[in-house]
Amino acid sequence: MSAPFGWVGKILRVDLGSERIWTEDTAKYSRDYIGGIGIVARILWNEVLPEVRPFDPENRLIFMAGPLTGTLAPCSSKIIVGSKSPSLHPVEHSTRSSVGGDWGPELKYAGYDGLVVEGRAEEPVYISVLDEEVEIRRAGGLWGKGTFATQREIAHQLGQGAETLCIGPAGENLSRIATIQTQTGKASGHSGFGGVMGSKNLKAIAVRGTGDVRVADPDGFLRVCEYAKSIMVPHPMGGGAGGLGWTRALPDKRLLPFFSKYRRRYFSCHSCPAACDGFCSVPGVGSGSEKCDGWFYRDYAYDYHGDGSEEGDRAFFHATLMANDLGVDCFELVSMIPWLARMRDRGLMSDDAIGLPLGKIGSREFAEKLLRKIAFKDGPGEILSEGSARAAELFGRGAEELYEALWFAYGQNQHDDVRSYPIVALLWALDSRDPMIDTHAIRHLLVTRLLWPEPFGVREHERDAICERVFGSTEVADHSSYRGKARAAAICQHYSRAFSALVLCDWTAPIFSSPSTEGHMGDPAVLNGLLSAATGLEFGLEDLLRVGERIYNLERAQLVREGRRRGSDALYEYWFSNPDPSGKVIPRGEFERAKDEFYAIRGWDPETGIPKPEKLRELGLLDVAEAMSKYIQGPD
Amino acid sequence: MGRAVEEAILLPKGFAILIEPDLCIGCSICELICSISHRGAFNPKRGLLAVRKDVFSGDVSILICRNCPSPPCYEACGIEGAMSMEAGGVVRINPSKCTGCKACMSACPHGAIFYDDERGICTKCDLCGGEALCAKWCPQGAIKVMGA
Repeated sequence: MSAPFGWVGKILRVDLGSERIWTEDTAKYSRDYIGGIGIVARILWNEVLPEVRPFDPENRLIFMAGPLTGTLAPCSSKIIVGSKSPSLHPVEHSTRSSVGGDWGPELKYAGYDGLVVEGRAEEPVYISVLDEEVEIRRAGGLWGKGTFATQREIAHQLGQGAETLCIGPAGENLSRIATIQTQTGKASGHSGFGGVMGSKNLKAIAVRGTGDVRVADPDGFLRVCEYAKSIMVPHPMGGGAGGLGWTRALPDKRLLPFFSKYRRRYFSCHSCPAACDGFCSVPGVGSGSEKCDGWFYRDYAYDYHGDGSEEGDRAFFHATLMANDLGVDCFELVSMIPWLARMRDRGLMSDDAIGLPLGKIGSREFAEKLLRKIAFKDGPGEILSEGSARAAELFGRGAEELYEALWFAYGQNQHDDVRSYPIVALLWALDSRDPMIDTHAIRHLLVTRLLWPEPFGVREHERDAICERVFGSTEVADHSSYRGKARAAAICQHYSRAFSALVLCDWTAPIFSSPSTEGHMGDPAVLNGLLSAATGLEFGLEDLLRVGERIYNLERAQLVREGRRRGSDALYEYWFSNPDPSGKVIPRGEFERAKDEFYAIRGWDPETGIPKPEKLRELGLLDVAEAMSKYIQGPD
Repeated sequence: MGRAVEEAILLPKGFAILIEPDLCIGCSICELICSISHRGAFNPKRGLLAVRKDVFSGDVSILICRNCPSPPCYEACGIEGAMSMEAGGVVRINPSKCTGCKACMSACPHGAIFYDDERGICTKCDLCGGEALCAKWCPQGAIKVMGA
């Protein structure tokens, strides 16, 4: 059978324990789940049972592309990674992450829509995929090396054009906040999947492909691509072609002088015109990408060494490169470092207890010691390698209170303010992890775009028109109450799953708003337009959002099976009792009423938050419906 | 940062292609549009131009035919009818005659001739008949069509 359009037709499976390598047909999953996050959710449901723990050999590590990966569709580089997560807290739930760059498209060119790894190798290995030649190779010489050296060494072994995902020492040593990295600054970061890869003794996955990705209607597909590009360019978050560069779009003035001194070029992910990645070379430190990665240390470095000082530049960039090289999640550090600083200031933490020079936060020395402690688990304070949530538990009450002020839920640190934006609070409460990671499109529309200059900024009346079109109401943009937010949250969830099934990047894809159209109106129909022209299957926008709903419900069923109930659809207590700068807290009554409304819209049981069997059957999830009926009857 | 226009390539009818590697973001869009238009499928490794990026050094080079005034590839080709020189100096490879001996590849000083291992022949940019789709699709203007 020739390969289908859009998809290339096979999912590669590797069992590292038995060294068995096989493939299965993508079509088994793609009809109902399209790709990316949808196939991830289905394989997790089928194969990762509740009793499986993140570092067990039975856990799966799933890398899934979609039908647009490897094509000219703008912003189509990403893959979704899925597994049982060691970073989520207190329950190690199944969740997702994503990573851009060039690895996903390369996997498609090699002939695979995805890769699923299971088992544990007896000794360190890496997987090489050179078209149909798939091998499990010894990686003894790579174990212990940083992600930069690992990628260079594999490129040397396999030749030009190989793309590599790999872990650093943090993943090898089973840190719960370890990443899977590619290139110098792209990561599956915030779900701790680097540790899952380490638990399998899997150092890297290198791919090189020379095959085709075909689309059903090339001329029609190119027309949709051209149209999609026309409504997204100049991309405000992108560095090239007239974009603001997202470091300027955000209220972030300290990166500008840094970039003007050290940036050598912008890099983009595969098939993306946005160019978010600023490639910098800093003398005495090294070269690599800088974007949000460095936030965790930038302000501390400039406060310690002097604003705009060269030593500050070096300390901040060194910390970024080192985190990416050791494979430590930069975003976790955005909150971990202020948390350590506050504990120091309150006298709750001493240098000896944590094994760190707490008076030198902002110095190169502090960053090095902290990152090495996390990656190698050496000496006192090695608990930080387990992530801040578990460290706070160990350090006790004062530490836990300070912890809650910097994290929102599930051991995931703050991302936007849940008190200021009711829609954000609901999205957080109703997901397995930080949901903003794949709902940036709504964040841009409701928060950031109102602040940007022309041509990127959206005026309030334009925003309202966009909300009417996407949500059927402007209520989502009214941040003074929870009215209408439950329905808007459900729509956001369907869009985010639709994006992540295709797979498109929610940072950059043209969707709700545009810099270049009348009234800044975006066009969500680009999503189904690209999918239909690529695959030859007719998808309307509603069809696609229906798939999004199916995926979200399947994810929920997996969480329920792992113990999630209504009571855990929550944020930390801090956010209900400590006001934001404008005096707002999350109003508990309104918040719970919005949840009632959400469960009703979803067709979930309002007492437990479990999807009702009839809803799951309506979505075609017959086997899931049967399983869920047992949980509804059982004790909460 | 100063930008160097690497080279102007003269095209028929007074057009020229300008390459500015400093502007290149390594997105592969040029390779993707090239492969879909010449091959009917997305396959950046089988396009008629190539972008080589080193994500660790930040170096990027764009390998595309320079349309040299006295083309070394054309002079090196020893197979009757395998290469032709068209009006305006555009060198084309005739796939039915090319034997894949790679003499043109060795002669090309710009690394802009590729070996197609599926068909056993050499391939090179044909400028899309002057339309240069890579330039049309490049989001950064790293490849541009100028003139007329």
